[in-house]
Amino acid sequence: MPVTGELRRSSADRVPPASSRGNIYERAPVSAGRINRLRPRKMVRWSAQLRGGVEPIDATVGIPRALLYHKYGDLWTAFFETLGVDTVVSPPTNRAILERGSRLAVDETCLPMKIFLGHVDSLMSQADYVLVPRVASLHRGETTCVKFLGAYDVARNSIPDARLIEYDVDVANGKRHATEIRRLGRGFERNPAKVGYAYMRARREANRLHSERALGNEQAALEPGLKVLVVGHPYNIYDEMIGAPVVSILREQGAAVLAAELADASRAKTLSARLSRDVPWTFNKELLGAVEHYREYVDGIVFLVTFPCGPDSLMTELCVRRLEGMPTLVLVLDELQGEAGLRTRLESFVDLLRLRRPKERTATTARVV
Amino acid sequence: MATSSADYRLSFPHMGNYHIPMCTLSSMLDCEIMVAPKMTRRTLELGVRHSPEFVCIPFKYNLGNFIETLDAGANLLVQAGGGCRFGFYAEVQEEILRSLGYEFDMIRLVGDFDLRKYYQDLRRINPKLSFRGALHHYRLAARQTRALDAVEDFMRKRSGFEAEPGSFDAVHERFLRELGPTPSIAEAAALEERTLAELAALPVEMPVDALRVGVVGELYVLMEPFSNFFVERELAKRGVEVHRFVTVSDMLSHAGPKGSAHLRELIEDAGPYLKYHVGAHGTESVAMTRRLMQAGFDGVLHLKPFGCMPEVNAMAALQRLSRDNTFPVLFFSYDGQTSETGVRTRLEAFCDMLRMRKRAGVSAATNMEVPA
Amino acid sequence: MGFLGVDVGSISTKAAVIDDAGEVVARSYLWTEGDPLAAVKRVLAEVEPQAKAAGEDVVAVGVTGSARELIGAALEAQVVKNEITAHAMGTLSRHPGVHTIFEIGGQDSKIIIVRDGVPVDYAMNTLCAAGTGSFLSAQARRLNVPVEDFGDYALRSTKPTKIAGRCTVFAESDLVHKAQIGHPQEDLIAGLCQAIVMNYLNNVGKGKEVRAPIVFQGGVSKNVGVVKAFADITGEEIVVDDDGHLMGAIGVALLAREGEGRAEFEFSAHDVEFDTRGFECGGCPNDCEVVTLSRAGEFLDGWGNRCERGIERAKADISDA
Repeated sequence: MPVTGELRRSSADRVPPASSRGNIYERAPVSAGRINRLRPRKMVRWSAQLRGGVEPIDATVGIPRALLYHKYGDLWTAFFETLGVDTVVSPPTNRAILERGSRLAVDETCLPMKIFLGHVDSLMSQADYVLVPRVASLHRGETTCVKFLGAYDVARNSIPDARLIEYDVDVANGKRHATEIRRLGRGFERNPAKVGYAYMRARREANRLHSERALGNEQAALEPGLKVLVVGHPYNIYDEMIGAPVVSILREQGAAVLAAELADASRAKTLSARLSRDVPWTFNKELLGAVEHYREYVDGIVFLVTFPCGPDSLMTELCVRRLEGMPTLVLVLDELQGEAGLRTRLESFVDLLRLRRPKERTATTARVV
Repeated sequence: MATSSADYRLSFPHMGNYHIPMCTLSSMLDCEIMVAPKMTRRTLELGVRHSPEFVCIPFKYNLGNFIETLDAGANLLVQAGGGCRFGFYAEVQEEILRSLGYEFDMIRLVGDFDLRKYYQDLRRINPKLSFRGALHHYRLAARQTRALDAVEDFMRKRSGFEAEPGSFDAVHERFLRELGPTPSIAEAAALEERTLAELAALPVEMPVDALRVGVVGELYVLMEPFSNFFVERELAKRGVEVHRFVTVSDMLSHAGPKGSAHLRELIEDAGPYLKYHVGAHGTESVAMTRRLMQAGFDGVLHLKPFGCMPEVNAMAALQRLSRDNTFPVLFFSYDGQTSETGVRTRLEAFCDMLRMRKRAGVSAATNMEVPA
Repeated sequence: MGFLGVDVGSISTKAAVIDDAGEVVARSYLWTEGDPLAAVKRVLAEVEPQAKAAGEDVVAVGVTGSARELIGAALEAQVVKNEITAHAMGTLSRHPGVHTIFEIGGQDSKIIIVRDGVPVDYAMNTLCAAGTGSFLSAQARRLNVPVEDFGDYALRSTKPTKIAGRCTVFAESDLVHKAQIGHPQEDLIAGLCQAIVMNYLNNVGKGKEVRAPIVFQGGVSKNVGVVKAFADITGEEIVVDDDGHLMGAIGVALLAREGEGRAEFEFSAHDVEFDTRGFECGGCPNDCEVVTLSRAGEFLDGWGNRCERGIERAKADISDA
């Protein structure tokens, strides 16, 4: 497997990346060949027996390639495809999307949220509905970042013409993800059994893809050579404008890149207690635990933070202070970031890491050349 | 490090005049209580110097308070938390202060509002504390808070029209001096009643076209006048009746299980502008603004720390509300570099604009309702 | 009777005298050059003969702009108003039907929304100067083109270059980069004009309903390149008043006319030396930066103090000197 392998899904039937940069994180829409559509033959007959056969609503659902897409994208696309609903995923973030988003958003909104609004806006002409879920809490006693609480209302107020569909996950108030997404599915398919089947199938597919990537990450941690752990939210690491340049520069420098985001969530959550007692956000808790999980295996840690992210501003501060002896680099990215400055900082960081491990020097320089 | 409660010198961050009930509350721990030095520009400078760069401004003020009070000899800090980033303040602040070389103990009251859990935390400091004793202190402090909020609410609405400059401040200052020592709930209530009567008796000159402005937004910058450059006072000086709804008493009355019903009510009042709760006080900002607009207020001032996500969420709704109804909403965002002159200029222009609207509204029919 | 309005901005100082009917009978527009007191003396020297020629005696003075407190004290003005209100009043007197006022000055920019002749909403730029005149002059220096010629260059361009305009520092490096890779100067300049407009609409104009008729004023409105960019991007006609740069001064003169205060204004009486001084109070950890104005050792006024102590110290300081 090449250096770029560990974060990539390894399946052979992957659709080639759409962007010219070759985004390794590209999540191709799940192909119809791999997931059997529910409508053909057997299932339709079964459901027809159940309730006398009603055609599904003919609508296209737009899925913004931003924020939670990078966590639930596989699930969403598979879910809708199995229900026989067409989906269209917005293209990887580009300058136009970013600019559009900055224009729509309140000035001091964080960068991922601006990008998100740009994606929602770009889907308006292509889809009948745009999916903007609200995820307030995923576990009891934990929350998500406040931007997820507001995502739906912010999108609705910033783009008044948008036709949005949403579901609301708030486990602290008894609204579980599995239940709520099925409730949304019922809007497209009246038969609850069909919706349940679609969810189950989507869940299984999403889990399979995730564990493939996670396994790649774990294996990469055990490989010899220079390794850098990138700590950042999936919507930052996998974004074409935010994380993709960081990862590709690190790789050009001959460093293997591990994503903290891919560490096993429940194990990470247990481990996070070693670094912080109070951290209230589920995603940040998982990232903190991942740092603990991988710190023995990596040479250095890059914190990928977007301006002005609330949770990360505090988590990074605490984490860097408690990671004594571990080389860390905090990259704060905003929409004005030039690639030149980024490159300088990452190159010098990798140089520093290399100097710290003299026995590996020959091997790693060889790889750069 | 302190071993018995008598060796502790307890302190906490400032927020408005709430240090008074906070002293009453902390006296349950049977230790010395130190009020942090008064907020000055130095407080902010210290906070900014030692805080993460783009953390929100209340963190910086709190940290500045802690540093100043630790320098003055405190060794037990209290910090609350919850709702947003605020829930994570305490742990990070403790880490920063320790790495600055301070030795202290910290009570972190974070997570969901839970009196019993807090009680367990407090028993650690004062093992002799009984639940009844704790409850008594809590109830007295809560009553003092209510008295404080009632008096200051009246001040906001009336002090701008005082006939004799300084007359309201004089009563207010005496009230603050007398509030702390009130030994019982009944006396706190009596003091509130007495002070309100005194304030109501002060001569005022109410112009016919007095403006009514609501102040909404993030709780800390709303409640700590130093951090918002005393906007409420500045508004009052310009002959404005200032209404504010976010107070500690208000928050206490919606704490715990009653919170979700309150939230549902707010979301309903936010009308077409919100469907869900958008975090911390964001929902309230939108709901209150819409209520005030419908009640015929002249305008709303929205305050928040720079980057405060719940309020940024609310802003998207508020901007739309303001645009749809041509209802004036002025937004202020505070960080360490906000210019006081800039805030003053905008505030002055805001009042001018409201007055012009009002005059035009009185003389000609417009889409604005004229308050009765 | 005449009414004097003075607008003392960070970059330029403007003065206008209006008569009873609100017509401008005297006008002056000069660079502040970092010394507002000297600049005001110069504009007064310019308007005095014009007012005399029109036969108007000044009976009330209004002052606006960022140095309004200082100049207001020095001129013993009857009205001291913030620039937002002053601009709105000035523009409304000339264009009663206006719905949107764009205003871009040297260091700040604002938008004022007017409905039925009443200002109903406004916004002003935050700290950053990226969408203001100083941004244009900085880039003009970079390109070695006098900023006065920017308009002509911009009009010649057919394909404006895209320039990141959100921040002066980034715009500059972007501009240099684009120049290095061979974009022609007129396209760069047109690109800059578009950048400033985009930045203005994204920042100051965010969330505001921009409805025609639109009046564009302030120093930057003299730049035809920016006017064209505004027209292209909003798709509306942009009205630029010949006296657009004077609106603040006219507005505050109108406010002085409406006000009660009247006092014969003697131009010559203000041709004396004023003394300003700034010091850090040091009375408490607030360390207020107090600025005082005095005339021949006599204390006139002071600003920047949070409490009385600052002024007391200032007075003591002046009498010691």
